[in-house]
Amino acid sequence: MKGSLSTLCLAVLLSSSVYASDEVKLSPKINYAESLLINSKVAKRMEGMESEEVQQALEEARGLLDQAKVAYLGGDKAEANTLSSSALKKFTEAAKLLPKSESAQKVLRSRYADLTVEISSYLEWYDTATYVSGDEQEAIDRVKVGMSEAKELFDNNRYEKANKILTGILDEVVDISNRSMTSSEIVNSLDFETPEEEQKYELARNNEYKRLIPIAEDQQAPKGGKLMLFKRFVKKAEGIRGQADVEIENNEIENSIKTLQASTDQYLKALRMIGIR
Amino acid sequence: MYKLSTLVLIASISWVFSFGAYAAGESSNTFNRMMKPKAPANLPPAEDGIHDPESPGTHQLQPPKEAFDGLVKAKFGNHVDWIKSINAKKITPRHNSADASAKPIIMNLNIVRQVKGSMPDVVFPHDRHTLLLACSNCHTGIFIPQKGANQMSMAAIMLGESCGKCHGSVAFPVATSTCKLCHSKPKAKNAELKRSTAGK
Amino acid sequence: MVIKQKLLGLGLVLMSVFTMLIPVKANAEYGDIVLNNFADASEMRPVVFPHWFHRIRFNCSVCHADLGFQFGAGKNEITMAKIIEGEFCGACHNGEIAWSIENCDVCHSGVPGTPTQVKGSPLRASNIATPKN
Repeated sequence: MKGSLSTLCLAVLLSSSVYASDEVKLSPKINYAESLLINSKVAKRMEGMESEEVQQALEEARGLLDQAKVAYLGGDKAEANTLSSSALKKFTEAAKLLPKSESAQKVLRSRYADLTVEISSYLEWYDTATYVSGDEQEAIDRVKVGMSEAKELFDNNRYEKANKILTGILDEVVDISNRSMTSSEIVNSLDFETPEEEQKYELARNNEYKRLIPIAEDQQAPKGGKLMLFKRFVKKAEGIRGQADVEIENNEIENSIKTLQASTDQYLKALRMIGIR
Repeated sequence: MYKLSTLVLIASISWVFSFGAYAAGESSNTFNRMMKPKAPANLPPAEDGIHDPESPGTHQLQPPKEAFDGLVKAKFGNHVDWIKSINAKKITPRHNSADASAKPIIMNLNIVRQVKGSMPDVVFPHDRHTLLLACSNCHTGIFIPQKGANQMSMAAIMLGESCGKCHGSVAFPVATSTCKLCHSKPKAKNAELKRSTAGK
Repeated sequence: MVIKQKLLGLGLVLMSVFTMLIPVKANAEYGDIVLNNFADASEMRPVVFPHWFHRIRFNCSVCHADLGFQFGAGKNEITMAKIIEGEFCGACHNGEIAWSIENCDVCHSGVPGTPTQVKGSPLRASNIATPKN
């Protein structure tokens, strides 16, 4: 009854305001609420759902929206704002009752995939790493059982439950690794096995600094003397790099390493000039 | 003949010269007279340059200073030391959005990366990171968990790769005050720096 | 007399110039993210997401692992439709864990026209995704 009354009021006001001006102007919030509650995909899904609760909530929300429009056209903007907020709130409550949308399901599926990959790689690592004690077989077996349980749930499209089990398993796997690691520090020394490896490292390093230079110049925007010196260092670095490229082509590995280092040093000087250490 | 205009002139010129001192908040002989004052940190939303002061929502937002009141301070980033604040229980961020009592599992593993030159070696502490992050956040998309598999340099970090994915955008930035937070393991004195197979 | 007046004028001009030099460039809170994939086209202010406020209450993994937020400003295609259905921000901003979506202006409070960016340290290069279309 209330719904039809407000619709009637709305019709009267709309027609009178149309008579008065060229177009009916409502607040952006009301316009947005209208597009959401009436025209959106979510609304369509709600209309198609066979649930009394959802249909009732949707109707209530639309009723509140109509009342908001009436209030706004009648001049009471504050009331219109409150009513449109209530309409949106009611609509959100109804949306919670909907089954998960396709994009939400996709997120859950990819989370499952991520978790499975993580846990499997931990298990692999446990088998091959040299710094684990190897006493945790029982726990590992439990983990494997849990994983197959989760897989069954996933196959039956019960993604949330599957992910919950896997998250618990992941915690346990991290715990196992903590307990079984015999060392708490791994040192990645900078000893290169072969000169080729070192050349590769130095080349990559030089390339990274080269990429950084234009971005740094753009961000720091040096002027005058600083800019001049910056450009000078960059030019020098590029010159030395050219020499290094020749050496790399001629397979003079040891020389190229030194030359690349020299080029990177010039880049570093250029960066220091514009305030980046 | 000292007319009013002369007096005003003298007053204004001396005001100009003392103004720099006023801006610095001290007397006329400030140490860095021509240095621009540093940008203020932790500004409230209406003044911080990205929030629109004309939006009604801006004034409902909590000013950061208010929230940071009891936390452990730092000199960079948000000017809050987040890890110390968590360890001192000043804040208790949830590990699970719905369950306030769920605790993260912490991994105690340090990875030491030796660096060229005289800078101290880098120590990457898993414990602080696993307190906040999940394994999949970094492995294997950003870091391959294998020795020698991750090429990085300071330039790459500043470009937003590897550590720079977070450190520089949301975690503490790369700045002169933060070098030692990562470069924390000094090399042993007279250590044979086997950096280069060249020139041996 | 004339010279004095000119000097007086100069003094006043200098005063006003120095006054204009006071304001220093304002800095947003470190870690704030401006999201403007779709806002300008919809004539809404862009969204400003404050990391600090959420970091006080949640771990990084809650959003970046459990809820599927990728690292990268603008990399997640967040739309109001997805939020209402409980994805991304809507997982908490649904009236249960945090306030609900009818408070448009609290999120959409950015200066109009600000491009998608991270307000991190000045040298941020590759942390900004180019939004599609």
